Parts: sequence; C-alpha cells; structure tokens
Amino acid sequence: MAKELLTLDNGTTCTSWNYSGTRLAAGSVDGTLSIFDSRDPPSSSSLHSTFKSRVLEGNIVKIVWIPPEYGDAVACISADGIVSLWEEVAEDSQSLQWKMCKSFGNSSSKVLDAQFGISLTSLKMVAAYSDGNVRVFELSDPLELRNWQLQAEFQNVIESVSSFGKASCLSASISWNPQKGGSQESSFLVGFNSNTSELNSSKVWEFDQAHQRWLPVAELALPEEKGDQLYAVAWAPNIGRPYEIIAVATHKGLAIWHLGLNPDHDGRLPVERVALLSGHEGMVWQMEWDMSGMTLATTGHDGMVRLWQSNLNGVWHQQAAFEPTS
Amino acid sequence: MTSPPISFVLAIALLVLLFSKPSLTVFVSIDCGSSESSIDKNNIRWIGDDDYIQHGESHQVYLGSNPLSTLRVFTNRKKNCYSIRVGKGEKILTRASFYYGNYDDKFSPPVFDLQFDGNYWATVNTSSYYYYVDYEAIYVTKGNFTSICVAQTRPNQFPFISSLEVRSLDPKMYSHVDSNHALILKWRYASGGNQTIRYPDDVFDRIWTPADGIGLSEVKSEASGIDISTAEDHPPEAALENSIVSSSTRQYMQFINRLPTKELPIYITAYFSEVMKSAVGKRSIQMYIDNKPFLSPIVPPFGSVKEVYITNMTASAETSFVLQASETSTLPPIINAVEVYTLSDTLTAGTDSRDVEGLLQLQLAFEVLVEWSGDPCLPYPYNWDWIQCTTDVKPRVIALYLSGYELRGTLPDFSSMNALETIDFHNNTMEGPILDFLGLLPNLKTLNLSYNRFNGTIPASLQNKNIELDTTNNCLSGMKCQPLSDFLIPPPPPPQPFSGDEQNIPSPPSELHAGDEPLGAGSLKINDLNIPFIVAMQTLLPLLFIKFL
Repeated sequence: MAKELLTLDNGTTCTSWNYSGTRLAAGSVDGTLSIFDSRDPPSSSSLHSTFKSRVLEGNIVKIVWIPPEYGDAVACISADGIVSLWEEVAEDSQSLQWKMCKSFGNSSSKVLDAQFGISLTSLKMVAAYSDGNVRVFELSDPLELRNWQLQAEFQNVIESVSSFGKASCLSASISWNPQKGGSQESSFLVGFNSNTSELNSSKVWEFDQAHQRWLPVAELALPEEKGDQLYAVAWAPNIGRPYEIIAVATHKGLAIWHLGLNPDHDGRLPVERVALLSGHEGMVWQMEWDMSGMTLATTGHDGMVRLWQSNLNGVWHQQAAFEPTS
Repeated sequence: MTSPPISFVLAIALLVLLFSKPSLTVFVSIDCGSSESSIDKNNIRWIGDDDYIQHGESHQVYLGSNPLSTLRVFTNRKKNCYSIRVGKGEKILTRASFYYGNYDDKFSPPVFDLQFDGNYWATVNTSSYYYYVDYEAIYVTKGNFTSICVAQTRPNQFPFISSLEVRSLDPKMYSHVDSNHALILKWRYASGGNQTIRYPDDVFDRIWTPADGIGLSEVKSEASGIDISTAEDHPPEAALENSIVSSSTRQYMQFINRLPTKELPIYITAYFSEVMKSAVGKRSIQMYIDNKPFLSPIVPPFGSVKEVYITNMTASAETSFVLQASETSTLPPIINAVEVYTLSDTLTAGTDSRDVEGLLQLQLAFEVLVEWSGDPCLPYPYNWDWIQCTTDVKPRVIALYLSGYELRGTLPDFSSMNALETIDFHNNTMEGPILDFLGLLPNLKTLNLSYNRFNGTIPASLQNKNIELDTTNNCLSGMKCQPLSDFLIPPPPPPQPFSGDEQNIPSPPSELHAGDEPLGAGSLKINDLNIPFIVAMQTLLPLLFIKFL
C-alpha cells in the first residue's frame, strides 16, 4: 500500500530521488534547495531534512542527481536557464555542507533539461537548450566536480537541414541509456517541444569513440509524426533483453518503442513502436522506469500517477492509477 | 582663479543645447505598478504609471528585473486603459510586456485581451509563470492620444501589465500598408551576432533578436560602415553587420515559420547586405514563397543595404519562405535581418464623436467618471461599465446607467448624445435644474432622476411626452426636500400632488437655503476638478478629434 513519507513546503516546484532512493532533493519557487534523508534504521518510514538553503535567485524547475560513483551532488536547473552543480562536502571538522562547484550558463538561451551519463572514460552531462542546441559537457577529472569541458555541440536533427530563424523551444527531455559501463558506447535520447518540427522527434545519439563525435542512430517517430511536440522520454533499464525499451510521450499519447541492438547497413538501429497508450489528459510531465525496466510510472497534467506494464504476450496496459490526496 | 571666458561658456551651452534636443517626438517608457523612475542599461528612462492610471493594484514581482519587477493588476471593470499623448496622425510603435512571476502565489497565469484605440491587439497568454511575453504593434494614430487597454475575458482571470512603451516612427517607415491597418509584430531578427539590438543602436527602439538557425554559418561583414540611407525603414547598422549563410549554393535557407495556422495578410521586410567585398557580382539570391519565385533575384550590395518587401499577400504556418542561390550565383544565399508582421483587421473609427463629446461633458462634471478611459464602446463588448452601445461599426451610446455612482453637482449639457434611449441617474446627489435638452433627445424612452436633489420644475420639453419619467424624491417645486444629512432615511409619504388648476405656491425660502452647498465646498470642488479635467482631456480628446477628420 502507498505510504506518505513527507509533506513538502508550499512553493515546491520539483523533487528528485537519488539513485538508491534513500535521499530526496526538492526545489522551490524562491530558489531553495532542500535535501531529505531516510532516518536510520532503514526500516523507518519517514524522511528528515538534512539541508535547506537558498542556492540561487529565481525558482528551481528541475533537480538531477549525479551518479553515485562521483559523490553526492545534484544539478539544479533554474527558471532563467542556468544549471548549477551542488556537492555535499565535509570541510575540516565541520558538518556536511552543500557547496556550489560549477555553474553552466549561456546568456542567449536557457537550459531546458540536463542529464548525467557515464561513458567509458568519464562522466558526461547532456544539456538541451531553448535555442534547439544540445551540448555535451565532460568531466575531465573524476575527483574534481569543478572541471567540466564542452565536449560537443549539435542540433537534434538527422537530415541535413538549413532553417533560418530562432528556434523557440518550450521544453526538452533527455534520457541516457541506463546501461552502466560495459563495452557499449554511451548513448542517450533527446527530444524537444518546439516550433521547429525537425528538432522535435526524439532521436538516439551514440558516441563514436573513433571519431570523437555523436552520431544519430535512431529516430523514435513514425514518418507522419516527426514534427509532433515531445513531452517526455524515458529509457528503460535492460536486464538481458535483446532490445532496448524506450517510452516516448507526445500529445498523441504514450508510445512504447523497441530499439534493436544491431545496426542496419546504414548504421541505424532498427526501431519498432509496440504500443500507443492513452491515459493522461493533457501533457505528460514525468516518466520513470523501475529498476528492472518492467514497470513505467508516469505523471501528468491530470494530476494522476499511472503505472504501465506489459503482460506475458507483450501487450502494454495500465496496471494502476493513483489519485492525488486531498 | 579666473572664471572661464564667456565665449567658452556660451560654446558649451550651445553644444549641450544641440545634443540635448530630442530627436523623436514620443519616447515614453512606463514601468507599470511602479511609482519610481529609473534609467536602464540601454539608457532608456522608465517612469512609474501613477500619472497615467489611478486604479488597479501594484505588485512586486519576485526577482523580475526592471521594468518587469512590478506590475499593475486590475480586478474590476471590463477594461482598463493607459492614455498616452502622441501626435495626431503619427506613426507609432507600441510595445506592452507581461511578466506574471507568480505575483499572486496561485501558480496560474491569467489569460486576457490586449487592445489599442478600440481595436483588438492580442490575447495575452503568459502560459508559464516564469517567462515574460511582449507584444508590439505599429499603427497611425487617429487623435492626439493613443489608449492601450487590458480587458478581462474570463471570470477571475484578472488582467495585469508590466510595462508599456510608445515610440514615434518616421512617417515614411513601413509605408507599404495603408493607415487603416496596424502591423502586429510576429518576429524581428538580426542574423548572427549574439546580442539583442535596440535603443540606442536603433533610435526607434525596435528590438532585433539575434537568430542563427540550423545548418547555417554566421559571417561578419568586412565593410567598415554600412550606408542605411537606401533602406526606407531605417534598419540599425548593428543589425546589418552580421549575416547568416548556408553551407553551399545547393543548400537553400528556409525560414522557421511561426505564423498562426489561420491565413492572415502579412508584411515582411528582409534586409540584405553583402559581407565580402570579393563577392560583389558573384552572389545572387532567389526568394521562393510556396515554391514559386518571388520577385527577381536579389543582389546584396556591399557597404549598403537592399530592403525587400513582401506585402499584399496572405500567409500561414503552412507557407514556406525559402532563399536559394539563383542559377547565376556562385555563392550561397545570405540574409542579414528580417521583420515579419501580420496586418490587423481594419482599424475602427471609434465611437461616434457626438457620444464622445457628451461623455466628455459628463466626465468633466462628475469626478468619479474620469477613471474610465479608452474608447467608450469598442472593441465590442468591452464598453465602459456604465453605458450601453449599439453594435454598429461606428457605435452609438444608447443608455447611461449611472445609478448609485455617488454623482454630485449639476447636470452638464450632453445633448449631442442624440441616440440615448435610457438615462438612469437615480440614487445620486445631483442637484440644480432638470435641463430642457433632456426632453429634446429624439430617442429617449426612459428617464430616471429619482432620489437626487434636483430643484425647480420639470421642464416643459419633458411634459406631455411619451417618456417614462421618474422624478420622485427630489427637491422639485411642490416636493418636500430631504435634508442632505438625512438623505438615506426612508422617504416620507409622498407630498400632496397639486393639480394644474391650482396656483403654484412658492416654497419657503428657508427650505431652499437648506439645499445649497456652502461656498467653501464649491471652491474646493472647482480645485478638485483641475486634476480630473486633465485626465478627462487626456482620455477623450483623441476620439473627440475624429469629428474633424
């Protein structure tokens, strides 16, 4: 049964669990970052606040935890499009404190989404900007979260396109392939909600180590839907399937895609849409897979939380729905 | 130390005088909701809106930056207007900005309408509580004032405004459209560069947003200066110093189109200036609209600018605009700047000037009415709250509903409002005689003057007329007049009506004196009228002057 863990303050705009689900970060409209921890012993059912401070001017619209291999840190995206990286550090004999170690800013466009991924050699952060650009930053020293370098910059298009004007992107969604380490090249998925149809459809980008660049290897959209504005994407963890599962939400509904693992002759990975689900009336806000990649949780404009699963025949359906309390 | 020689002082004074001479007629920047003035980093002087509007509520917007850090919200009236003095028949650029910033802690930005001079301008939808939006229009004024209004269109969604700017333009600018239409800005871009260009680089304070594009490169011009005298819309030189270029002659350049899905008449200006001296004579650009060639090829001049107009046509989100190297060109297409406007519907001529005149008289006579401004009737249905209008193209005012507005004083002459059918003045403290002209209004059906302090007699023009007349509880001859302090006591039994046959008995002088106001109060009233007089003049003169066109 569902259990209430915490009541958040008025003005809270976003929350984010860390990878193990033991810490919750919350951001609010006045720029306050709060960190909540599970009490010891772990069987306790409540969280308590271990840090609360105003970390930036303007409100926080998104918080992303860094992979735990690199310490306890979060990236905060503010409404004016600045990403700031905050790390929990112990200095001298003082108690644990959160300090800003890096700020990514661009005067001409806002960061709409940012996500961390681990590649063979380093930690990377992908950021999607309001001008339609995708920028990949790389941590040069794994022991020092301050040192980031711009590793790549490109636009979310496959074909060669020349369009003049200022792309106007309302939102974006990024999801890394959760596969950690191994021999596979790192890859991620990004899509936009913008006025430029070429940017919108979610595309899978894979890093070409030999040429040190990112290549588009798949597009998760039917030909007639390539311009549909995207709400959210989520890449499912893979525990042994011969294909990847990816969820893509647009105004047409929630699509479940299978992504093949072996490229075709043109270097593209085969894609197949295996389900189109409806449920949320209006925009899908957020999607999360469970650890096995078998259950997808979604929330949206209707305020509901919905769980989706496929049965043994591979047919996807809604397994449960939760009404917001009070 | 000796003082500087007088010729030096005179030279300095002359220099200051020359440079301080304003080059533009109107350059007003209003920081709505603020009562202070400031100068921003572009050297634009912002003033508070206390002198323009006396109602609404001002709010601080958390962590907005000037002039978006304050706003004024209006919780009543169908519309609320700012009236700004301009030259009659002047071409002006008007910009209104809105930043919700969750000022009311409801996380729910309102949706409402923006209007100018009785015309619909836009539906303001800030859609997210941490982005600002602005709207810009270019039009020719019809009077000495322009009024910009925000109108409530949905219940409990209160209109607000963050800033308002009015700028004069050269009358020859944007001249490929007649003055009966406004240009509504969709977008205005300067290619390349990364800074927004506005005043003082653009003396008309147009805002040129930097834009690059997908698959395009930015090129800076080699020209040491660019002669803009060949372009009639005076683009700022800064907007032409960079351009965007496609990767090859085979690569076309398509505009990202943000027009509405509905087909609308458009007005586009595109600016081309060659960036490389060596390219003169080698570059030629053909424009295609919906895959059809438009005009002959464009050859960008080096060191100056060629302006291209796209007018007298309609377009929508489905229309494609493409620049491609023409067949004879050995270099790929470039573009330096572009402006895209849609044309408004035909601008209204406003409410009939006879009604505007009459309403002005009412506002001059009754102070509380000067709070209403903008066109009295338009756009339909956003009339002033106490009038009723016809739905004609040029509306008439057919009713005055001023019951309970605490009007005090004598009736003005609003006899020019000859379409009036209903006048309801009951439940005020108006005094003085009932004027003859009321009975001469040709369409009047109902006249309710009850519960006031009118004295004298009912004029002959109102007798034996088919007008529903109510004059109960006044100070007319034969009536027992209530003392002013006891006005709200329930009225006593009606006085004995006298017949026409009886001789009229004059009222005792002491009763007449009781109804008079002390002279001191009269003097104060005259002083108080000065401020509303100024506001009323601001409010209605633009419409009054229509009659002379």
